[in-house]
Amino acid sequence: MQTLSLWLRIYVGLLTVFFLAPILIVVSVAFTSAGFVAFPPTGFSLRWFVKVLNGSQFLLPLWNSIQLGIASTLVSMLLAVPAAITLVRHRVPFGDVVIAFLLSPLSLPTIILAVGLLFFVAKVGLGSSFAGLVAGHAVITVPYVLRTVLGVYSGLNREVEEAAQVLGAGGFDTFRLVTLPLILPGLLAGGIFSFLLSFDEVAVALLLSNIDTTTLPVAILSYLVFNYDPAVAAISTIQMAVVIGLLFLLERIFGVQRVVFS
Amino acid sequence: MSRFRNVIPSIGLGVAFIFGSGSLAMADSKPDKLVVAAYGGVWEQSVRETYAACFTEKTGIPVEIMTGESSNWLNQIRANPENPPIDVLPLGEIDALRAMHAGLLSKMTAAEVPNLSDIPAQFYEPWDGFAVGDSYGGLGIMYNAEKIKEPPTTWRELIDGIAAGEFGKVAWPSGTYTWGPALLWFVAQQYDDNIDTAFEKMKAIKPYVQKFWTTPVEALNLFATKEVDLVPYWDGRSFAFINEGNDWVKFYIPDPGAVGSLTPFAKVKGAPQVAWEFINCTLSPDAQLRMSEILRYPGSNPTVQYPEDLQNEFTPVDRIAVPPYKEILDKIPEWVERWNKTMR
Amino acid sequence: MRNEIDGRVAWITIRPLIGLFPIFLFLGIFFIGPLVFNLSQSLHIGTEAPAFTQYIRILSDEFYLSVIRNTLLLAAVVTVTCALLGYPFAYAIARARGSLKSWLIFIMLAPLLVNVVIRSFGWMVLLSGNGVVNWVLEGLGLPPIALMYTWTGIAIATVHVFLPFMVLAIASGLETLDPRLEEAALVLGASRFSAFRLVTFPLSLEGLQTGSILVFTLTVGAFVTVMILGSSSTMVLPLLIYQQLTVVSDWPFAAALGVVLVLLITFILWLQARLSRANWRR
Repeated sequence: MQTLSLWLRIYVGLLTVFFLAPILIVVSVAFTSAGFVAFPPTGFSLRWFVKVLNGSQFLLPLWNSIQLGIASTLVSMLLAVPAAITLVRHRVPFGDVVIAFLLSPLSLPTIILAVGLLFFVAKVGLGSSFAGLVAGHAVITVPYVLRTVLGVYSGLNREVEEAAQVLGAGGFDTFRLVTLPLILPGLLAGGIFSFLLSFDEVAVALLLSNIDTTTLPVAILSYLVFNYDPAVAAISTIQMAVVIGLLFLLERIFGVQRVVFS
Repeated sequence: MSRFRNVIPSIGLGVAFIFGSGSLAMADSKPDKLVVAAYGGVWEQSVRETYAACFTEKTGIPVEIMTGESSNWLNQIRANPENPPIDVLPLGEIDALRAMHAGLLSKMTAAEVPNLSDIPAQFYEPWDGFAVGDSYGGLGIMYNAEKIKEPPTTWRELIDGIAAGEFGKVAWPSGTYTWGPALLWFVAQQYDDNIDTAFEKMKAIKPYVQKFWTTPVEALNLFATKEVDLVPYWDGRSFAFINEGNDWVKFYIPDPGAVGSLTPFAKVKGAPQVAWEFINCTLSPDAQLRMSEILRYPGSNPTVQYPEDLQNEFTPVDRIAVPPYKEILDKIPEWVERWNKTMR
Repeated sequence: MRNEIDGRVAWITIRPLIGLFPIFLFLGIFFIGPLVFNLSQSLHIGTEAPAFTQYIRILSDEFYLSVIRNTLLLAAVVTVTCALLGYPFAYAIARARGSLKSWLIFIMLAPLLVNVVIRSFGWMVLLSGNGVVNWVLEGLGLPPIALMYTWTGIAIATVHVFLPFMVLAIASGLETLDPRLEEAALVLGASRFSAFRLVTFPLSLEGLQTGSILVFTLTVGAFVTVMILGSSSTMVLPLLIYQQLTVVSDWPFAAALGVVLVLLITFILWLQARLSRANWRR
């Protein structure tokens, strides 16, 4: 069977240009020798990479963003998996309403969450701390993980789990050896999305980060407000390389197709 | 056994909380660092090389600089009065008043800040001593001297000229820029203190304004790429740009003067006592001289001796018009709303 | 004795639902908490000001209503555009095999790899007066177009930001479709187009719907792109909220605007739920 018709191929090609254009522009600007952002770049130079890698003004936020992404994704997974399992296995009263509620943070504009969180988190005692940021980001990301895990788990044939229990496996062992591997694609898909979202998030980080926890988007935004030079392009290229590296690793281990389509 | 299922989430949450509680350590009498806010880019560089260096030399405590914007810093100290994430910060003039009214700042005295006695009162009176300006700048006109041979002598002529299309496309500060309301006040002053006329004039120049900018870098970018030939811009930043070798650029202050900005530094209530030493550093002659060399703004300490070429770039104090911030503070919501509606 | 039994019955009913406790607790504190705070701020609770002044201010002012309208309009345009542009790409992903499929997935995810601030920055370079688009147009001898600071430019950049979400949602839906259904239709004599129209497309609607809801609500809340690429003429609700928080420092008003925004979204979601029969439990 013919996989893709000619028209479709042409269309995909055009859309690919659309998808990649701004990114390629940013990467090419990063290599310019000029002191200004201009396209096409004039000359080739690594000076902006040098500048960015020398100071900690971007590297520390990059590291913060990675830590924050991992932490909020882990928290989201820890919250979403028991919930998804419970929802699928048992008859939860008002199940549809419960699910709608648990997914509702998806629809909340982050600026509003950030505003409320700023004061609320201070009252709860977490102040402008890393824990507050993790909490804020986890609120945003937990629906994504919940949704993908629900999707995978509800489609599973759970006789496998029952068989394991009949054969003597305890609840935790059943989960660890049977359930977890089966929901892993959904968990990973939600996890990747969750990480990327947290990595990208601006509003909550802008209001809640302090000197130690500044994230990369906030650092870039602060920088952009007062400098319009290729340094931001350089750090973005580095950040992209990091994320692509991580994704590549996951692809090797799990296979991206299996991961993205749970 | 399903019991274990719930242990994991609890551990996870616990880990997340422990992770973060480390940064909750209160600042005590000898803190391990001082957190100072500064605007990004060359401002951050200046603070690092001048005031921060001076402070660390005197106290041995390192300074960490947090970049961002005044309103964000204000919101953060407002939300965390018990444990402020920032110790010293240069708020915008209006935000400094807001912080003062909310009881978030500490009042300074000459005992804690010895250099204060050298500073003219106009640099701390607007905030009743709760903040003090380390430098001042004026908003003049930066223009492309190759295209514009004879810029108009007064602000009135300039504004009317822009509205008539004499200068092509320009970039003008937005009313929602941190110093937007101050400029609106200043424009009103040119027309008999009539704010309505000021808004009318802004509406009149709108067709020729490429962008009403909310950050100086937008203005610089539009100007440097020659998308606009004229932009109201700060004197220090203008000269910094000119001195980079851009001799096609000139800067001047139309009559009667320039709306000015001070940079009021303040110590946050709840910050350690040693933070006063930082404020003292911002007012010290040596640090201010070094700051001026980097930023091209004059310091507030009159005892500083500047080299002549630097002195020539400064706007004389008598040409600086400082808005009556206490009076316009209450008008700002109304002016911003009016700006949103008039300029859409 | 009776109480013991009641207690045990209650425990047996509740016990399986323990898995829901952590997430409920978490969201109750960190999601509902801030919302309640916003609500109380907007209603001036704790102060002497009358409760509904902010809401009256918003709903009786033509300007604020126009901002709400523009926000919803932008979201609608972006959603429709994403659906139209994204569907064929999602179809291609679902039908592709092997390394082509992996590459297409990677391309779809590519925008997400770069920070949204940088993506907007990239669009700025593309769309500005001296930017790439105009450079290309100039090279072709065509007049330049002004895309910066316009709704069009913002819409283009926003579509770019959220298209991956739409494509992923639709592709997920199409992926689970059995291609034999379409084959069966073809065998039975339907043209390729009819097979698509009558078999594939209706079955992919759920994914399309999920994607549309997601993109719509995300666009309603988007403010970074509008902030970087917009001007005073392009005001949306999240940006207005941010402005009121920073320049004006009017917390109650910003909170009220936020509540209005949340209510709008909730209403639209409720409409969508009413019109569909989506159910997670199969």
